[in-house]
Amino acid sequence: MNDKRMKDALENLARRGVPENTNLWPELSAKLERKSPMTTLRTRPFAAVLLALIVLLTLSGVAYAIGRSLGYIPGVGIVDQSTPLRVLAEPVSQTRDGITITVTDAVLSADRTIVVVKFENVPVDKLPNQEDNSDCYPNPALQLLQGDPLQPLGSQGNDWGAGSEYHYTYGAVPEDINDATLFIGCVPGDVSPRTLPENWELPLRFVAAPPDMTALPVIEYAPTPAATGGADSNQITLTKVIDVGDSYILMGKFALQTNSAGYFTPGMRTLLDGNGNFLPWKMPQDSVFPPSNPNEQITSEDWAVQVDKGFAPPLTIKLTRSKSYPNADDAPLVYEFDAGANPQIGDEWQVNQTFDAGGHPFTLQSIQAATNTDMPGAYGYQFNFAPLDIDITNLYLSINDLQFMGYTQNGNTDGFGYFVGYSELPKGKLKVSFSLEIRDPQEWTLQWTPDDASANIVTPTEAPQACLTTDSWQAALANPAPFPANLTGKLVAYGRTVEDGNDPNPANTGMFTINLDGSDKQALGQGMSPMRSPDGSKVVYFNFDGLYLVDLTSNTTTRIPNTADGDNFPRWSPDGKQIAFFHTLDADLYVINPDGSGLRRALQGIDAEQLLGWTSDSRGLYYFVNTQNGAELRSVDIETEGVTSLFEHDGYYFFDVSPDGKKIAYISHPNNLYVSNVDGTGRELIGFMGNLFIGPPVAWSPDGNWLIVTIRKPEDPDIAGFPLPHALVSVTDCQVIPIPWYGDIFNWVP
Amino acid sequence: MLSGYIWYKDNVDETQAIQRLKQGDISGLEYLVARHQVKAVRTAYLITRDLGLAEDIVQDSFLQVFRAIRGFDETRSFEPWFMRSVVNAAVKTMQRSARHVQVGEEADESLLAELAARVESVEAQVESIEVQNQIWDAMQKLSPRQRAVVVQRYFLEMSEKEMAEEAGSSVGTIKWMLNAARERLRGLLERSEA
Repeated sequence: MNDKRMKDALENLARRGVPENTNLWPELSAKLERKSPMTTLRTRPFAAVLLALIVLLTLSGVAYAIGRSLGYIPGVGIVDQSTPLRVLAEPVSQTRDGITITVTDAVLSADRTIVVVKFENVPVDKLPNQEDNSDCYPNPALQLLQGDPLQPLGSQGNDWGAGSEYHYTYGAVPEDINDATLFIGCVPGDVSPRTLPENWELPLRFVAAPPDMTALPVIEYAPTPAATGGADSNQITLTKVIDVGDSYILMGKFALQTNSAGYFTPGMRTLLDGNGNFLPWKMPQDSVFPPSNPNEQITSEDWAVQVDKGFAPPLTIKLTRSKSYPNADDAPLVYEFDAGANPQIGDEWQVNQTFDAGGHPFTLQSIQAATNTDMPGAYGYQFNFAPLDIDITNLYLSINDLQFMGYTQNGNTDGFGYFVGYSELPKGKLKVSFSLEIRDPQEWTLQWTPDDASANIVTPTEAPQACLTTDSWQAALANPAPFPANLTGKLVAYGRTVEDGNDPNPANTGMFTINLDGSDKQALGQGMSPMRSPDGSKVVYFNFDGLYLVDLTSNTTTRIPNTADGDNFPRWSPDGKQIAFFHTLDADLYVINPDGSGLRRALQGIDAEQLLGWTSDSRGLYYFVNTQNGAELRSVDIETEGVTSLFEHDGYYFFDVSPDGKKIAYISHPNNLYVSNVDGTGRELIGFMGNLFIGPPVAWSPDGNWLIVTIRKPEDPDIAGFPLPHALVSVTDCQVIPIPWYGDIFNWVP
Repeated sequence: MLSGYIWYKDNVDETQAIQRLKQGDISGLEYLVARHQVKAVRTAYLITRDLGLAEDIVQDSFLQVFRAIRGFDETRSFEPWFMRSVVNAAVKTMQRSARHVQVGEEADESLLAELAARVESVEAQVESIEVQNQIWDAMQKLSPRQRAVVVQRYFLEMSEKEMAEEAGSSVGTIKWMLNAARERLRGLLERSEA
């Protein structure tokens, strides 16, 4: 036997059983909605915030009802209040080997039981990595006094570095049973073979809910506010709203198409205020979705958002999805041609046939028998398409369903090419089948206006005055100011090094140094996260096997001895004598001298410490860790390993520390940018872009008076090398100047 | 999408997707799903022989990715990491179910012999539906772990070293299973090529 023949047999068997247009995303995204939020949210012990909300919403033009006695208990979720509720008598906690598991809350209602479990101090290097991903995903069993244990019907969770919190939903516990044991087999993230304590048993006791406990009303909409857009505007609905005091939780459904395989992306969910500005929103962490029924066919996705009050109404909810073609209901995209009995490399067939992908024509111009330098030993056909008016994210092509060796796509302004290679050149009559994934975004929009009187709407105010706004950016683009003469030095970036009209590839894309005005661009080759030394003589970057150093004087590149695979994101110390980096395998911080000597661990922690930069005295490092509430900035003294907590914010990203080590730039939502002192004081809103995103990488000017940030439209692809505009923003006098060249800018030194 | 040559831009995109996912951007997962789902479902299907089950397994594996991505080193290739997860999940699922022939996890020579006997008795090309069905039927007689070994070696084209490291059982058993399967299948398929 030849192994390839066996592979062919298995490949054919698999193809027979699993169609090419398999699409898991609709169901998967629905499960994600139930399981795990994207962003963190404060979890407040419900006992502290069990406020009775007496006010009912009066919703303009929309009928509503408080249905089925549903109530929302902050910190827990939605429960049925038609029978008396029971709660956890008191939190139950156990600590073993430094790891603490706490059952913080439980609510028992007529239809379900919600149990909230918190895991703390879990060493992050026990989380799975590429070496072993057999990680623990506990589904705790709730054992009652008799009978089989209850298994969770659904869960929602939130991970943050060294901790996590899960809301598990079970069936109802009989009214006469007030004791149970929660069995937790393993700690989330523990790898196999297990190294962390296993088989936890937490005894739970339930009591009647206190008489003053009142859940917040859940307003059910019937009918939903009308939606617009998309192929079927009725696909998105708003079904429930909860007023939780300082914010709203809105919930609804998105109906899946009968042929759900047609949709392959989920989409992007966007909230806009009445002025068209993006509103930050969070996924509710509590159990707001009904438990899933494994025997029920999924016909819709649940969605939920939590948005702070104080926005200018109406609130607009947009959902954007993209389609793939052909779907099961569409005509197959097929082209047949006769290659003859003995086709030769170089033979060409003119086709010029136009196909339809859901209303988007694309034209196959020609086919050529060819080889490809990227695929030695392969013989195949090159398919040449005319320039396309649509954004194809992927094209799949097969000939007579033969097993191919490989394929490669290439495109430029003259068209789009696809080479598929085989061990032998296919002969005779050939049937070519295409399928495409195209960006064909469809948008559904739903508007909702809370009632002013009852919802305590804050009078809409102008956005706080920021330096970088949509208006100041547009003005700067229209009339670019010259760069101040004192802004000198070199920048290091990643992007196009050769303008050849082709898609990005190693031959035309890489690291480079450049002047602020775009002059003196010098390619440095392939690498990641390039950082120039403070004296400007060297660039350090990381690659797949360690850290590398480019000597810009001699133009030589050397691998730094004693660095290894997993050493990432290097940062020069201000004195240029040391390089700090993040090691991905143990998620700790290290320091090394540029010649490879003096390697030592600067910080060993249970969190994933994400390196930002050095303190100005070159004795300490700034880093951040994810927390349950967002992200926390810390510093560590590399001699003593003494850690100082600086401040926490509810966003998700810190950018970079200023060259003097005194300021930090960060965002709490993609359309804003803050600068503050490293202890969190003196916070200033530098950027507020409304409906544009401010993104990384971010670079400080050498004098610490300017920041360079990327400006991105929501529809721009977030991929390396994509030409995004950059703004130079003064943090001292608010001047905004566009950068006249493209590339991801990593740092800027004198 | 299948075992296609992955060109550079795709790798850049994948790294970006993982970085985005690490920051909680769900579109990163969308990219990974779109890119790996078909091969993953086919892998699980060859082990479970049930499309619905295979899809469930792969969905769960992607959910695991969503949870575990923060510990993933994006400078490494995603696919081997993910496919190991799918194979393990498929084997575990089948071991928990009653859908497979109950055999021990150690290599069962009689079953491999039966597999060989079935495929050797066929004198057609391996591409033929008949031969594929024979292999399909023969694989049904293997335990989930044994089936996974065949799928890893021939469908996912893993090396013996990778498989031995991955197996979690003795290296000798894995090598024996592979050698036995390979030797016997070789006879069939070389004849069918003639």
